Amino acid sequence: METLDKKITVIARFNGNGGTYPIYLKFSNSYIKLKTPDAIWKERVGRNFITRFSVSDGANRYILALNHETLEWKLEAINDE
Amino acid sequence: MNKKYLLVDMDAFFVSCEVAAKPELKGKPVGVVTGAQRNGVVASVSYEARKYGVKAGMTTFKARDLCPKIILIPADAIKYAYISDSIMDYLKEKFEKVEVFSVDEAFIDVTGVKNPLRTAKEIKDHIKKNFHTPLTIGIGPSRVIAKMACEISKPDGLLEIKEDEILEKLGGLEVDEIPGIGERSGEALRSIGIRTIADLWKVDEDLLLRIFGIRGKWFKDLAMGKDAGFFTLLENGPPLKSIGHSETFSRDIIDEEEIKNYTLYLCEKVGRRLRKHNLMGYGISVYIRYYDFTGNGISRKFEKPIFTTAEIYKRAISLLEQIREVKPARLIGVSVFAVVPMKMQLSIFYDDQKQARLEMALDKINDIYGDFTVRRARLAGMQNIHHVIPPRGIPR
Repeated sequence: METLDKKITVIARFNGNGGTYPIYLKFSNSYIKLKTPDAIWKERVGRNFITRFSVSDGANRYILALNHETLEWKLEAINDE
Repeated sequence: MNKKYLLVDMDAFFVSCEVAAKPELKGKPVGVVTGAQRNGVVASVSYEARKYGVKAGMTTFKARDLCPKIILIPADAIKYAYISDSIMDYLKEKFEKVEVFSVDEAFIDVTGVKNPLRTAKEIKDHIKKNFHTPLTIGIGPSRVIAKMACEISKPDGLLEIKEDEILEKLGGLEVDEIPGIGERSGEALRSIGIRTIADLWKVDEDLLLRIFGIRGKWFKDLAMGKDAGFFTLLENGPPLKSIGHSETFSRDIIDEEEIKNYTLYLCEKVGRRLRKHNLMGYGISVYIRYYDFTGNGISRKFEKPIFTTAEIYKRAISLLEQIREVKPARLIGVSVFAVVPMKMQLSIFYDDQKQARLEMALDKINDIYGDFTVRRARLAGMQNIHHVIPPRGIPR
């Protein structure tokens, strides 16, 4: 898996029970549709939290990270499936 | 009313979390490694790798030797702890009596539930659908039978053993396949002609009592499907006798300052758990293992109890200096034993009140913002400091 740690634009869905899921990932000028996350895990960093999503578009696997404080998304890693 | 328990046991849990996060690993021989890739230890093994003889606890070198195609992944404790907590939260929400047994096992008291098999299927379906991690559920009239039902139906199994089926379904198992009977006790039982659970059913309890003392009765009770020994701890709460931590380093370490850093890190973890449980200990033991798998250990008892990290570290380092050989180390362990509840006022028994109050204040900050948010300067530069799975369930 290639580590990137790069800020990206994500379109996310906020559901009723407090969950957040990335549904599109902006890459160059196009949006890539993402499948339902296969795994989600959360890390506490001081008073902040980072939630990570392992998610696929059918061809690649992405590890996306949502910073709860800044609401920024990062593409942490990518690889071919 | 007859008791009924489910044991929910995640299959190869750490590997399953990795496969859930990277489904392309499914069906491949995978191992999760703690410590370095080169000289680390395999903590969890996929069933595909087990076919080659790879087992948890093996070195990565041995694992690669047995299964050259094995994919070794560094352990991600944060991921496993989060998924474990999420699964346990789901179980606690659904059931009133859930006993978390370890990071990947929980007993559920389902006494009175009309159809425990259907309930177990629902749990399996929910966990598989939401967490993508396979699991096995054993059902029995006691925890020990639920555990054995689980063990014999892994992986991805579901098995109920009723009270009148114990002998028929489990009678042929070797005695040391009973949880709570270890390899040594198994050998001792075999030496007097008791090989299987069926043999334990037949043997006179008085004979076991004469040879093994109270443990002899436990052996018989466990074989008959009664929760005994270790399993009764879940009823009464664990009697904490010691609190300890050990760590295999990501590489062999010889530098004295680095060894001190790791020792302080371990002492902080031990001290924090002691203070969290309101305990103090009258003894400390230290263990060091070297690159060549030899090791030294030492224990000491004191008149006054200890519970601050500063005191634990001072004593641990002093003991370590007595036993340490000048060769690269791969693991250090620190444990405080002879623990008792901290009931007395600090002013009565503790000389260094300032230190105690300071550490308790740091604990409060770290309770809010996470372990090691505020840390000693010696630990400032340490990386991967959180990457240890906090103990869950009852200490074993």
